[in-house]
Amino acid sequence: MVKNLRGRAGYSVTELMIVVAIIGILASVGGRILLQVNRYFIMTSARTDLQREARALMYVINRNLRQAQASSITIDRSASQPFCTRITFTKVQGTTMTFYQSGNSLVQLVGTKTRTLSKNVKYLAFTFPRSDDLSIVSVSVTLEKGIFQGRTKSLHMASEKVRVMN
Amino acid sequence: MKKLPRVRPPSGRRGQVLAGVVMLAALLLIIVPAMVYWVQQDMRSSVKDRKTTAAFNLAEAGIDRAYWKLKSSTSTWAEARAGAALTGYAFDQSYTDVAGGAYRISVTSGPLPEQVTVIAEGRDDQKQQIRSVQAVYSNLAIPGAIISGAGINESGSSIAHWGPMMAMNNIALSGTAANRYFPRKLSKQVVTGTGGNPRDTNGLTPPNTDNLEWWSNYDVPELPVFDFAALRSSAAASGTLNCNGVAAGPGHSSTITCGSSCVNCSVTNLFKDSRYNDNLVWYWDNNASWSGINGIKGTVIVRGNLSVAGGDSYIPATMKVPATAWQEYQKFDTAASNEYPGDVGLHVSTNTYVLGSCGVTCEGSASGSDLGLEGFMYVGGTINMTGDSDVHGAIWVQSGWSGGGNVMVFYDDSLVLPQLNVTLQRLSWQEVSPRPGVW
Repeated sequence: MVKNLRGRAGYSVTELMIVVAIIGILASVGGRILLQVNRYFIMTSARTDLQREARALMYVINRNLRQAQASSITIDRSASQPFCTRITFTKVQGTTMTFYQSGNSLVQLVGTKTRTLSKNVKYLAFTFPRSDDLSIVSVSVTLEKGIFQGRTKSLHMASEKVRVMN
Repeated sequence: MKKLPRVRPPSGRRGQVLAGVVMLAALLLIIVPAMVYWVQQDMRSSVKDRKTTAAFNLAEAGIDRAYWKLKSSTSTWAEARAGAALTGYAFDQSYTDVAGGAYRISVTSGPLPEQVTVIAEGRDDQKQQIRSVQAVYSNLAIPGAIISGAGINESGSSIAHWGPMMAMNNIALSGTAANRYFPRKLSKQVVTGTGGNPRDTNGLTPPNTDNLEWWSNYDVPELPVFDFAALRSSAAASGTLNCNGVAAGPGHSSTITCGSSCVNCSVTNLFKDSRYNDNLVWYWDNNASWSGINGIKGTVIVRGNLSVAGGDSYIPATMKVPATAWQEYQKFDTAASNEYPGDVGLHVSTNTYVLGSCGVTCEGSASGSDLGLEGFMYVGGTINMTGDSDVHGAIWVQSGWSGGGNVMVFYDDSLVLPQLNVTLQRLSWQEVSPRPGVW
């Protein structure tokens, strides 16, 4: 049985062209928009993660360093690591503590126990901003995380000056 | 021609829109909870950070409040040091004067004599985070080995160890003194050296420090105000006030001659006085000059000028080395030992030291093993130290120091003197666990 197709309404050429044009625009722009949205989400997420991580590790360093004995502080580096990337001190309670960079990791050493605080360290530096006052230590850290297409998102925590209280 | 009826599309074709909506809804159902969870986690972390920071700041505010309470009067300090409970400072009151929550404070004596422990706990306004800080204070009477209310002219071989030299006017170094790069020299004016061993070469114009050994234009810290009335009464009670012709004791050969006007007291062989080791206050209202064999334990107050000549013979017990002694030797301190008395490495010193035990090179001069004074010396006028009369304690002179002798001053940071003000020094600071108990 052959249906009578002539009775059905069709699409005009103009309508078809509009549809094709819309589909073309969506195909060319929509994908890009979706990609950008995705990238934005990844970047925002990475930034938030880095901020949280930086806050957390600064909190740990700050809290312990404030309780250090100023005379016990030494700043140096582990083998094959950049200068000023290791700080060792004895807290007023008697515990010896070290924070140091190992590759891209920031490691806390208490006695013989190690704990990795971050695996996204790009740059770390402990310095004495005033050589006449060794009870002030400047801590500077940059964290970096991969996002997409080999690109990275970096976050630099401005040098935080920690007052050593003992 | 018959017009054909319009055929509507089958109703099933409309479902294509529904499929799209369902897919979009599914996508949103996946993304939105993930986003909400992510935001919640971040918010939770941020809020906790804020609360714990607020609690910590409140605890620090508590430490600050206790600090000013202790400084408020010498009687408050004396009560706290004696272990008396101070109202409002025994965890008996919750303070809310600082925004963000509340804090409470405990002030107790100890852990050692002449020390006071402060514990302050801070709690955020939602009572979820508590941080606690503990600090130990002492009343630091004398902040330096040699303190001058005027200038210091140092030309000879005199040496100060373990504590800084402080002057309200210039510190001028010459001769052998200019060649010594210890201790720290802190001047409200200018520290000068010699051509071969210069210090500040451009006056008050910056730079005003080498950040290691000398500081010009320095803000000398708060100094104590002594209770001279109490010191004089103490001397009067022990017979050491303007002591003129006081019997030195049988078999002793010291002489103290002040004359009828009691203006210039000549003191000879003080070590030979029977009271040399009694830890008394020796008080002169006017000038005094020491000579012969010096050597006493106690506090010396000379309201006029003092000249010290001669040698010394007082053998002290083992001397306490201040924990901050290393700061005076930053110019040359290394990991090696015995670069200064009590040195056992970089920024580390022993707790005690036996006079003369590390040798002449280490001490910087031949001190022997004896002292001219173990204690504190205050001079209201000028002081001129020649000879070899060493001191373990500190010297405070109001109108200027000059010395061409061979005097060594070993700073003692544990000196206690009657004061009219409280000059607190923080000995330790640490975070501790909050104490249980209802606020």
